[in-house]
Amino acid sequence: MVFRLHKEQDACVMEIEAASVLLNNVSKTFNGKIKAVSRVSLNVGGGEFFSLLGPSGCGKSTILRMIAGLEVPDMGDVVIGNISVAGSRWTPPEKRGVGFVFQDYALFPHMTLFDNIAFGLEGCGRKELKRRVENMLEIVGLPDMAKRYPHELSGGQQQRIALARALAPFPKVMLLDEPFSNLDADLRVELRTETKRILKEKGITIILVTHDQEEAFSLSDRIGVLNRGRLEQTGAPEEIYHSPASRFVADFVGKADFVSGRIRNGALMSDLGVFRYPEHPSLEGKDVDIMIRPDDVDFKVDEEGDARISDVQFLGPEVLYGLELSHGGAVHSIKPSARVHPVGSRVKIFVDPTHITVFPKEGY
Amino acid sequence: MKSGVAYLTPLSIGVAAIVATPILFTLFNAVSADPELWTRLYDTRLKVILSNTIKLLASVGVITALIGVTMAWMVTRYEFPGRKIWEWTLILPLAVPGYVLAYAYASIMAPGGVFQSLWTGLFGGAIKAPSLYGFWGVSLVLSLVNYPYVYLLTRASLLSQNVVYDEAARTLGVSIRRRRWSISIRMAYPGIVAGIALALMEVMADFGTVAMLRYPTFTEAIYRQMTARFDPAGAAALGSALVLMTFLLLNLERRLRSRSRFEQTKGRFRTVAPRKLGLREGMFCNALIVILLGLAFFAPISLLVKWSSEAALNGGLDARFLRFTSNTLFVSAIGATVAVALAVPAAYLHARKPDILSRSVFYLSTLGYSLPGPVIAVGLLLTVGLLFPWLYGGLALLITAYMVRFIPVAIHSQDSAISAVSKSLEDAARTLGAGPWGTIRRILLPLIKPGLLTGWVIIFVDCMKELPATLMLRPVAFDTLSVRVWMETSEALWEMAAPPALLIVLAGLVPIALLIRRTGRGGWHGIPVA
Repeated sequence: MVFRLHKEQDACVMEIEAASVLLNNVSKTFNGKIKAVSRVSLNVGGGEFFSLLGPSGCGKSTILRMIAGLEVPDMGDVVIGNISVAGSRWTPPEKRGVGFVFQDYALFPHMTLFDNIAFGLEGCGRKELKRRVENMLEIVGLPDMAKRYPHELSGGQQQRIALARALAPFPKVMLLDEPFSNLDADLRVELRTETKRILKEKGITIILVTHDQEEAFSLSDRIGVLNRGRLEQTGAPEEIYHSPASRFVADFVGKADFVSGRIRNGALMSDLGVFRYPEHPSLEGKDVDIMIRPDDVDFKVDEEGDARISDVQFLGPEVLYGLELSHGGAVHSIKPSARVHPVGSRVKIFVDPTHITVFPKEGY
Repeated sequence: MKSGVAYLTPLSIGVAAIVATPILFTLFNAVSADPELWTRLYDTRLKVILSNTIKLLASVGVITALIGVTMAWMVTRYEFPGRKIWEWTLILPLAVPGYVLAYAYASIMAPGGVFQSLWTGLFGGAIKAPSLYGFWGVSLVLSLVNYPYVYLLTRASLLSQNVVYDEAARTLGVSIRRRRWSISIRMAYPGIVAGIALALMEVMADFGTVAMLRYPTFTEAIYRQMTARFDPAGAAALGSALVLMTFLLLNLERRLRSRSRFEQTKGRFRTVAPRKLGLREGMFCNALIVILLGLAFFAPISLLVKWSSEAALNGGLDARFLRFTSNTLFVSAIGATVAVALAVPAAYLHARKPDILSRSVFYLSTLGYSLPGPVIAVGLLLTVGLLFPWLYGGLALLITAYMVRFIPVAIHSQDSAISAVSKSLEDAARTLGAGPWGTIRRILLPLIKPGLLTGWVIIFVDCMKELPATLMLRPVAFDTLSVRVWMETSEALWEMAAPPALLIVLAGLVPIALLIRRTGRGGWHGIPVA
């Protein structure tokens, strides 16, 4: 069985077969004490674009490296396709059939781009190898660069070659470790759109690691948010944004304000008004914090209003207002920049009640 | 990484054991020796040796500091005709082993030699000609071959100084003389200390110079105790005392340096612009350098060239000479290859997985560089005598000694070469289907090849120059170039020693050329590992 698996991997893969990735209770500790990943379970479907989002040091890269086989989990199972690769049995990285794009691209400096891309195609015949490399160069838009060396390329071009090299052996899963973080803002947006197009066309399973919530939102089918080695929430981008499972997620994926309130008989009472709120036995009668996002808050200038503009940040297409409530507390509101209201204006606040998330007061 | 390169750890531990065993054996022998041996040794030998060694360290320390700092100051802070050429020719004496310079001057100053006839011509017989033998001769010879360490490191610190400090002092109204001493020289202090320490380490390890010029120090005493008095216990005791002194010196250097490590400002970096010297000042600098290099390099080397060419014309470069040469090349090539190959596991693990185990292995494996050749030879002889008597008198023993002594050079150069290769390159190769060994072969080795080769060349030349361990461990009738220089000199056959000595110097120029080439562009800051 082991022998056959190896045989399969050494041969030239002619077609991409997207595989699911399953992590079951995976933990990893470094140097005996620093807990990098703690009991993470997740299930990424075949062909899905999944992002691991979190601040630096949250363990997201470690998870990716454990999927690739570059780190060994202390505990738990990793399953790619239907084959257990870590846990009950160990499969080294070279036998896993995963592609990996590194943050620093890791192009082999002593090899031409052709040899870089051909590196993973050892099992392929000479003709197929040449065809495949040329095809990859074409896909990433650098068809005439085969003879160049990595140091002759710009950052964006290096990133493309890194993608081509990882894709060339037709892996079952593509792992991307912050591949856009070293690029300028404009190029970053362009390249991530292009990368998604290329990979989605191939139908491959993609797992992206990033600390940039905008990047995760714009690319992913689903996102997993990590904090200190723990998976706090998995869900579709809009779910993560509008219904965060914890204060950490609420804070990390966008601007969030918290306003005091109290739940009674299916209603949520707060300084911003009374909202309908589904029965919640455990929170009934308790003080809660209500999470409000700037895009859920609108206001109208009104001399009689019970709030005032305390701060104006012009962001280009939009303006972010800081609003002070007369009962204490503050929220933000984001509005188109066609008109800018001055600091000090009295306003009346409207809150869109479709996305109301509450957290028990104090504690997470 | 699980199922990574499986054999590296045991391999590296094995190498560390080979390096550490003779040292530990020596120490053990010394500690377990009869206390009476120590008192006897102290009265008969140790007292003299100790005071000799300390006097020598002090004088060489002062002289190399004077020469090294002056020269470094001249080539970095002044601009004068010839400066660019002198800047690198000033390190040439590094190619000359102490015993070659000692031999050259011994022949020049021998009775009936050039020097004596000149002296009597000048002063008649009234004033006795000074002798090379003894304290001053040894001090001067060892200073002339070792000042480049101080020169190189001081020069590097002076070049890395930011001009802002000088400018700040100027705005505070500080005079140029005080600026020189309290800013430039003061800030170059770590470099100066490190340079002197390197020079003094060489002095402690030196055997040929002190032995030829009959100034007994530790190395010479160990050699005599072992070969003339056949007293391994005494040799081990003396060796342990030397090891102790070496570690004390290293420790002192580390403390001096850590106390004066200066933070350079961040931000824009400009070096201090050198001052253009007038004609007379420029001539003076040139004269100083010419005298120094004449004494340390050009005069003795010209003599070697003259005698060697005479020997070549008279058929002195016969089959015997070719045999010594091929012996030397052969044993040095094997020594360098073994050291470079065995260094890989320790260097790789230290660079990639710096845990307690790999760091201890690294430390133990690099111990040999601070150990003088005679100590290593004694340690190996003791170990082999007890455990592997069949190795005695074989070439394997000599090669082991070279390995123990010079593997640190290979480990250090490989460690920095591997650290410079991003770990993600290896990770990338693994995810692309290459196995652990395939990754090392296809990615790591090609990328660190220049580092491997440089290390090989440096060790090869070091083996060629090595004298005491070779003298003590070589198989019967297996003479090398360094051994020939020693033997011809001890019988005052000056002309006969010239061709092997010249060959050794020429070989020594190769790593220096590498050093200059590597650091040639944009100012070099490197230290040669001699």
